[in-house]
Amino acid sequence: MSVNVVVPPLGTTVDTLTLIAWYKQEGDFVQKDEPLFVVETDKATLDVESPASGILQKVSATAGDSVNALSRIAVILAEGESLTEAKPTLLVEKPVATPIQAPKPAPALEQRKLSLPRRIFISPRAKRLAETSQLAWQTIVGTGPEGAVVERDVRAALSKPQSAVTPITLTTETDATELVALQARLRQMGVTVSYDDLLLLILVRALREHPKMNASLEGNTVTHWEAVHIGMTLEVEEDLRLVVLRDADQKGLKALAQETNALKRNAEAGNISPDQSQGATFAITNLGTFGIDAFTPVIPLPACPLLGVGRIKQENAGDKATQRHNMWISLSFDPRLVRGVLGVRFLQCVAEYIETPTLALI
Amino acid sequence: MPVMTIAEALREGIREEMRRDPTVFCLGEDIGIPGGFGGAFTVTLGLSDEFGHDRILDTPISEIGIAGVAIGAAMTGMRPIADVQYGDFLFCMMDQLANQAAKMTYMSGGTVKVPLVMRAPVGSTRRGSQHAQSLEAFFTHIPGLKVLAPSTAYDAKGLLKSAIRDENPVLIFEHKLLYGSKGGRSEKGALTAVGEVPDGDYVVPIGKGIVRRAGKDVTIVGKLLTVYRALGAADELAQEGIEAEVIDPRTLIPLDKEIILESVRKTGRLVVVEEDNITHGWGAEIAAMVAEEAFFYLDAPIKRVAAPDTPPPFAPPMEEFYVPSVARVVAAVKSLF
Repeated sequence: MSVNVVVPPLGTTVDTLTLIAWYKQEGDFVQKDEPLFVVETDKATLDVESPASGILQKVSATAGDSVNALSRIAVILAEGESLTEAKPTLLVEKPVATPIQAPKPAPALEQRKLSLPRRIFISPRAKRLAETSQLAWQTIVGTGPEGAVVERDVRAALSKPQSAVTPITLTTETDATELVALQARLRQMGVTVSYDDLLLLILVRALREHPKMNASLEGNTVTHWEAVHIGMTLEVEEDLRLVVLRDADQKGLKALAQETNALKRNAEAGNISPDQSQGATFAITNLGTFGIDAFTPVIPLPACPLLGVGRIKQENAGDKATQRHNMWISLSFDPRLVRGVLGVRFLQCVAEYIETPTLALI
Repeated sequence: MPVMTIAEALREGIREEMRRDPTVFCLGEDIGIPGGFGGAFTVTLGLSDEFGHDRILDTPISEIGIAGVAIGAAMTGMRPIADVQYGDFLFCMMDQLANQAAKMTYMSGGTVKVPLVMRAPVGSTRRGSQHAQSLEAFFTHIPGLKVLAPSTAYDAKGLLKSAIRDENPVLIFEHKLLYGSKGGRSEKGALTAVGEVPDGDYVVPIGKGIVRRAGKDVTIVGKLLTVYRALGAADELAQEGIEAEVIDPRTLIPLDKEIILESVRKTGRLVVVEEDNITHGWGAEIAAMVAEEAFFYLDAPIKRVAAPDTPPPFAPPMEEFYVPSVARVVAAVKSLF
């Protein structure tokens, strides 16, 4: 069976590349994953490995040619297979996964994906600096001799904010009808708690089930925390700032309510101590009180996962029996910190607690 | 302060030491004959007028004899300064130097000292394969010898004095293009390596290098003429924003490792420039030493700029190609960025 040799799509911006050279000639045997040809973008020169083992045939581009991403420039035939019996599809099937339109991925990462199978060279000096700075040098593209990562590359990477990694955001709409009802019922019983307090409680319960979500990333170091310190985004002096409620998992609903009230009063007065603004192991931003339906929460530094909460919207107004309340929630996290599937499960868990909040009281 | 050439500074150094110590004397071919040049490069010119032919001793053309006499004299209480007309002739003395001079102190358990000084001109100066070699590395490989390579007039006088007063055999290599020899002994393409030399007694300690130019981006180590090539390259590199630090070890054995290591720890890059053939050379030793002792500070491979592995050619265009030039040093440095 023939296998097409295709010019790889280099990220989201590059359509045309220059073929620099073939490592093999037509008729040569090539091993799968062996470097087959070199292409150049405006940013880098990259080896492309052979997609299969076999004989290189039908080479249609030569060194110096401009080639389009995803175009076929040769085929690889199994030994003994002839060109006529092999019917290579004329055009490459469009790959199903087109690159995700992430908000401006850093060029370093874009290239990194492609150069992954290549050996990365790093100078001893650069490596020492990267390691003492706890920086993952494997993600840096070198500009030194022979493409090696040198000191200036590490320094450049260090001076870049950590947001060079695109955060993942998951969003779901939840049914908050019971949450609204619970708050009303508690109020009737003389317990005044806000939605923020109930959400904090829910968050703590969900974290208990998914302790790996209670984590932060500093430099390249992931730390899973035992203590649960929840950062809440509050308005402080006309700015949104993270204010930290410590040991949230050690507190019941009443204590949480008292403490959030105190933090809110302090925030209003602009009276937040440094101790109250750092050390979050998880964060929550509720913009529902500002009338926002849904949004992408911005991860604070050092990066911990962040739950965004939108406005509780009433549907079917008037008819008490069918009246529903909906609320959008979003979870943002650094993919180096939390695996995507864990994030999905965690968000589902939070949604379930919102939809059945009495479970959180147990 | 008087300004002198290296040849003049050496002459002053010899004169002062011979006045200071009656055991000091010079021997060599044509170093004191009336109407002569004062050796091949004028270093001893006029000294026989002051000290006579017993202390400025002309010898037959027999390098093995010069070495033997010098070693014997040194072992028996004299402090000879042997003049080698061309460094290439050191090969004629190899047994005397490597097997006798270098080993005598060790073999006698320290009871015999060999305080001799041997001065030898090196460098390619359009004299072909047998009068143009740079032999320093051969002698840095022999335990028991000290090896000096002064590149300025100040260092030439100061190091010579240290060598004369040292209890061990010391070889001083001098570059023909740096002597500043005049008249019939002036060299084509010579540099004007004149410099201020204080009157009277001073020494430059053996084993101490010097930073000839400070910089933060790359360390260039040279010796003798290649110090000047390195400085020329540093000038050119500065125009492109690369600040090179140029180090002149001055003493090859014992080597001031720390001055090189300290510089490389700062710059992260090293280029060694030498006029000798590249293979198994002095540059290889510096590179190995830095790789062993400052590896984690290196930000680029270590580069050597040296002569190719052939004898020095006679034809001027070939020689120009052979000897490390400023352009080659610049290119080597740039390849590290």
